[in-house]
Amino acid sequence: MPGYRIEYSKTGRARWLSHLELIRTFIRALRRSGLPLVFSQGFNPHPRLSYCPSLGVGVAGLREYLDADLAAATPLPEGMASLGRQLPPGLEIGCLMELPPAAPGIGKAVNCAWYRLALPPEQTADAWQQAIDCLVGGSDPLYYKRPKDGKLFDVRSALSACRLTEVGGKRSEAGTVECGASPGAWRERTPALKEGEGLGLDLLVDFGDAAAPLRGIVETLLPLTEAAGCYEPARVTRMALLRHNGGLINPLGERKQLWEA
Amino acid sequence: MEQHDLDELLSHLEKPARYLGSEWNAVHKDWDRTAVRMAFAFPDLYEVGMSHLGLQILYGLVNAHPDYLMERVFAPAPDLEAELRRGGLPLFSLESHRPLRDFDLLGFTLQYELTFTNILNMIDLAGIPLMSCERSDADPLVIAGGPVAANPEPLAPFIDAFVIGEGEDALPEVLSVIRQAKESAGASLRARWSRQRLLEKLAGIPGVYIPSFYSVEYNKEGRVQGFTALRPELQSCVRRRLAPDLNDVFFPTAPVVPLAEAVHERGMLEVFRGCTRGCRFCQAGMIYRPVRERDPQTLLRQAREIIDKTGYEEISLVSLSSLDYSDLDGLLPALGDQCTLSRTGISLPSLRVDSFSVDIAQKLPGGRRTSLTLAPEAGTQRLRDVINKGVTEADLLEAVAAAAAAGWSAIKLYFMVGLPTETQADLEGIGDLVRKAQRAGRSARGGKKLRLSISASSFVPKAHTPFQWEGQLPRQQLTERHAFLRELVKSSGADYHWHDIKTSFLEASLARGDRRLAGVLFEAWRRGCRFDGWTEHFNFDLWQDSFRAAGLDPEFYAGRRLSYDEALPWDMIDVGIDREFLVREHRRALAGAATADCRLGSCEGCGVCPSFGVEPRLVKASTLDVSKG
Ligand code: SF4
Repeated sequence: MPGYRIEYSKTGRARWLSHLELIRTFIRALRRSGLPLVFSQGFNPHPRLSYCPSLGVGVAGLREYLDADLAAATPLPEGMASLGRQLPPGLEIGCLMELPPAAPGIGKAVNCAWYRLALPPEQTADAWQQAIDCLVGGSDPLYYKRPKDGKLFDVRSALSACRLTEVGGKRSEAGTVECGASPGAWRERTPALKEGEGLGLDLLVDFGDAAAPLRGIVETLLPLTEAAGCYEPARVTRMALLRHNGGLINPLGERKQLWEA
Repeated sequence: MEQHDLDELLSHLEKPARYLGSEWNAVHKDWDRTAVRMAFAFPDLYEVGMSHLGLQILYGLVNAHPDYLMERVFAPAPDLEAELRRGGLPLFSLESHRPLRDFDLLGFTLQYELTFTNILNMIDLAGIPLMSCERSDADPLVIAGGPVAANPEPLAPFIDAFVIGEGEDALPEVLSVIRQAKESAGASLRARWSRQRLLEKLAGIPGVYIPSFYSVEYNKEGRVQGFTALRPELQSCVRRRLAPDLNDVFFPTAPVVPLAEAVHERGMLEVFRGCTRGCRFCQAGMIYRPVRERDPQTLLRQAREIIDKTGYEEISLVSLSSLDYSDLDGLLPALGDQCTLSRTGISLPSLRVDSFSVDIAQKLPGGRRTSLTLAPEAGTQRLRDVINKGVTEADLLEAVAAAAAAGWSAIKLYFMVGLPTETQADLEGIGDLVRKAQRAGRSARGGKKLRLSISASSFVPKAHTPFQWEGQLPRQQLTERHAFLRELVKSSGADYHWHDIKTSFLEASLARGDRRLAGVLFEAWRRGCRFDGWTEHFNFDLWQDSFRAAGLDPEFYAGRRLSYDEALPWDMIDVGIDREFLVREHRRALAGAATADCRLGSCEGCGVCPSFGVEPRLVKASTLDVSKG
């Protein structure tokens, strides 16, 4: 029973789907596509699928993943086309790949995510850079308290790397990436950006026990600039899901540089 | 709406997926190249409306026409309403996110009386004047249809035109008149015709009721005395529309697949329309007559297409009593075969109370679910004969035993409290039935207890039924009866749930209401009533204030027993059933005499077939003589 990994993007109107809504949408698209799904046993058979860590409602994702078991080997271009034709607006297939036998599932294949936050225009690049320096510069824990249950998260330790960038149009050529001594700790100097350009903040965030919610990171960062505003999911895009272990590798098995699409 | 504004709006909402409009099979037509644009308005939440077959039928039908466009809009949840009002934004359609005012017409479906305040709210949020008489030529037309339009009067001042009966033929005729009205009107004008002229033309379409063309007179006791058609060309009453042969009418095999989770997410197969079992409280059983079955070949083709085009995990046979279909033997095995490869389950929304039905349900793929519902409705044979529910105690106990033996561990029994002629003995009869069902279940499960839950509603008299003359019991008495029954049921080890009595009381006062109730609806809406059918939103005190403010008594509408010779507020609506038949059925009810289902071969003379010049259409027909009608 071959396993397949589907890379897709979730943008436009589809960014507003919750994780459960997205799952149901994919299940029905797969059922319509005629791909030979493998079903669980029992009275209400479910197709055997696994999903990557969920995206917040309103957050777009450019490279998201879904693993599916199929009952028979399926030619990749045809499989991609038949599923692609069945997806509602905002969901698009990027790539379909057959998983090598015994490959780790998507849940194990990622441990961090690269988010890009489109920054509100009121603040200058300098102000943002200072905020970033303040955030990544210190080593004491910087806590975010989740409103719904009061749980504390250390924003600093959840953040592996961070840079200021331009959004829309050409991406800024980032400066040198400095890998810290411990694996997963990157530090980067961002070249100064011209005033008035659309600014974005790139964040490499860890999953796992220490994982601070994205909202927490953003809401910790924003006050450092004295910028008005709050976390707005529609400003956030998950650029990539990755696994870091000395270097970075994406779920399709490709090595990536930091901030490489 | 600009993408940015929409994103900003959506980011404040609890379930933005309700308002995206980008569902699979949603139709996005070219606005500038369609002559007539209609918004289909469902006055309840997305999750309710998207489970509704009527929406999918009309949406598919209108959008299949090259010159017409239909988009959807649902009642905005309280969080969206707050955002709209805060930002001064108009209510918008889902597909193109345009303000409703941009459409030529707004069409509401009336499924439940307790959605009326949502209708007013949606008209208001659209920026359209609430009252028909205040609208100008620049405003969209506001129409309404659906089963509750069988008594449209409480909404009369708010709605420009009602479409009575089945909309598959009538709605395209309405759209065609609007197209004529718009032809060569130029860009600056909504239409070449004045609103009045348009309404006059619409009145010429069979099944269209224009409330402003009729006046209602009241006598000194405050009862409706009669009504007058204000124009000589008008018929004295409006007869509902009906499709004689369902094989010929449009059916949506590519329904919109919801993004936000709907109440029911399943492909809907309408095996037939109409039900002639003749339960005397049931409005659907009267206003959709006669029975019209679809051919098995048509159904199998439709099922195949629905499965392919939706990817649904389940197909449901959604007719009023699907297991009455005359060729089940021909249909179900073939349907089961079609569903095997795609692992599609088949379900039945309601089961007839007999072991035959349970056996069939159990054999359906994916058919054995956790819970099963049976509706004996009343506790004694006497009362079941009064309501003409042809179910015996033996039927029920066999059905329960069969279900328990087949592996169901939970069964829900549905009863109605406060039915005409009900006595203490009938309530005790329910307790008795529950105990016997418990025993039957236990022995079929080899000594293991069956989980029985009893769900009880209160009787609500409805227009065009044999019980339309009956009153609802006073609330105090209903409360006592439910409380009595609850103790009885609990002592037999079953759960008891009852439907909120005040909600049923309000439903009853609106269901038999007249035009004056529009004042109450307005007051209630103004005081903030919305989603009155939802326990968490229902505010009975506000409704009582509203009745008081409008100078009307809800008891007068809900509880009063009407006499055969008084005029009824809904007399201008002719559903095709003879009044004499309803009187006869009411008298037979009081005498405890049962009336047979005309499916079984002999016409009971309800009058529908001769009125429309049609016949019941059974695919495996027993010979039927309708001459008596
Ligand atoms: S007229 Fe006779 S056959 Fe037709 S629906 Fe009524 S009772 Fe049945």
